[in-house]
Amino acid sequence: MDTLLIYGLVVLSFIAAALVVYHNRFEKRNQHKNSVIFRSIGALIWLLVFVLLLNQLTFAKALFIWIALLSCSGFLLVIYKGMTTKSNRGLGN
Amino acid sequence: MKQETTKKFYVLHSWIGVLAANLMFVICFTGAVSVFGKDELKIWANPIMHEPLNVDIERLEAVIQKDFETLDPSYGKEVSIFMPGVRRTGYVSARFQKEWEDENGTIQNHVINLEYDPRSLELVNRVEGDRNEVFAMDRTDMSDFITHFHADLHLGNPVGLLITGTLGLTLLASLATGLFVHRKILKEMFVFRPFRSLHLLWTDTHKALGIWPLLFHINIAFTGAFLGLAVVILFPATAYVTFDGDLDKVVETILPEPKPVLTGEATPIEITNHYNQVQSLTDGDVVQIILFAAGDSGSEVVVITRPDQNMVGSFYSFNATGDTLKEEYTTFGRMGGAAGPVLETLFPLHFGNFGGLFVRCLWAVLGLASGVLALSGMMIWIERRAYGPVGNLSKGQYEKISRFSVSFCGGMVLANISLFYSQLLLSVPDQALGYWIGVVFFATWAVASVYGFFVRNEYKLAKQLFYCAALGCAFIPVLNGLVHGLHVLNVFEYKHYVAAGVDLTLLLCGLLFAYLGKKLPEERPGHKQSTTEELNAVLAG
Repeated sequence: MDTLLIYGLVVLSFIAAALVVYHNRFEKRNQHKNSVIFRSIGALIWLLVFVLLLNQLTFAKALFIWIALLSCSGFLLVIYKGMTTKSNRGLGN
Repeated sequence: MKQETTKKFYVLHSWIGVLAANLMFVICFTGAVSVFGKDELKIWANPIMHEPLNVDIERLEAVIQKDFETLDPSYGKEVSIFMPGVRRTGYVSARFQKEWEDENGTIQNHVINLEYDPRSLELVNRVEGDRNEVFAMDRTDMSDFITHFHADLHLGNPVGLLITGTLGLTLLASLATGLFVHRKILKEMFVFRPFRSLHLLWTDTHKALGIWPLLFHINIAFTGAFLGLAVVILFPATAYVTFDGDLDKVVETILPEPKPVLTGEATPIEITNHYNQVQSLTDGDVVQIILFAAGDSGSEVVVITRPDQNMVGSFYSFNATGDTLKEEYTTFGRMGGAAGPVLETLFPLHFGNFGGLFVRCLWAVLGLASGVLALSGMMIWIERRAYGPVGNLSKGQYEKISRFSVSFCGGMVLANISLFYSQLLLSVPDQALGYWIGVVFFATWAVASVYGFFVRNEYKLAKQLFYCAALGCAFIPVLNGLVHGLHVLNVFEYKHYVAAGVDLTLLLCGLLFAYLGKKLPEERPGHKQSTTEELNAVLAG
């Protein structure tokens, strides 16, 4: 795969993960509709990543790489969000 | 599901996890390192491979023919030529093998292995003996050591494979019971509150690392269990059921060897034509060329490549002169049905070696996540018992278990770092290097594990281990520069990009360990005793 495409896919995956992971910012403000839109765009970008992978690789390879990319970007973003959210600090230890 | 059933699953989940957690961390961590074993670490460990090795195939053909002429023609039964590269060593080697039947009817073999410098093609080493003796004299380095450790803990077949295979099954069982316990899976996957309390830190880490990469964990557990248990249980069981216990027949059926029809007409060894044809058919590098009945015009030549666009490498079978491509196949491709492709994908799926560095990085991060998942589960178990209302032992005894877990797992990290030092500093022949690397590796691990019993505070212990790991990682690039004269600053001059990349990654790992060590408190932060209601709430998800 082209190196530029790899970087592009990683960036796209993390953007998608950010949209999905940060959706509850809207839930807290009772903006349920915005939250759904955020999550949907995130999911669509993840799908786009799969299509781009499929365009370059065989189905099996694209599927396995996509699952790994989705998992990795998801949990790293959740951890990043937890580490940087101020409301998580100052309670107990 | 009734709460009573959930509780039963919770108990099962925690006991399965706690019994295997430390070993699981060891396997997952070494797995994450092994992902880079056959490529980046192999190149780092062998300066001869720092620059691309392009062998002059025509000259190699002439050299091998010349050496073959000095041997008895019976050594042409099977001639394997291993190209230099990340899957083996930096040297080209030709292995000449003959077989005969002794007076008891047993097939005996004798192998002569010649090693050549990849650039000058001068003979650098010659060993001979039976197949196992020659195999035992192969060059080994730190990358071979760590991949073998991950596969069978260096306990061999069957004990080591049984342990690693069973751990794969244990992980599968933990994942299945975990899914029953954590029913609010979609809600929990977005929650991570690291600074609220230690208990929440561990439970949120456990859930985030368990749910997001769930499919990856299932993949690793299933393929790991299969790769571990296939040789020990599945193949013997297949042989017992279908082939009257004859294991060789199973291998012959699944992986049939070419049977060339001998003509008795002598012909020189040819590989150039075959090599060039394969290079025009695939982007995958040629790793091995095998000549069956070499020296006879009826011989068959098989060229094996690394994967290109497919998940696995291919085999190209030619006639003696390379004019006719008889067949192209994969390792299990000739089995037919769905079994072949499934069996074939298990190995690349486990090691992530089907899509270059990018996929290997993903596999390493997710593999580390599997290790931390096991460790966080262990810590939750200890927290609940040492500082919660459950548990039959005293608080001190649970703290001892905690210290042992920290030093055992931290010791494994230090032992992995020790591999780099062994590779750089040990001055022993390549054939003995593996043994001495093992001595240093297990000694480091043992010392770190025992050290845990002498430090009363597990936080202090973890801090010390983090700082040790930080120092260890950060000094490797410096030492590499001192020993080989190769470092990040002269990368454009000597073009050792992969080795410099490994050095840089180690430096970053050192900084990360130092950061984690600095962030970790000196002692357990003040806590309030968890109530039964709180624990039940955790239990209910």
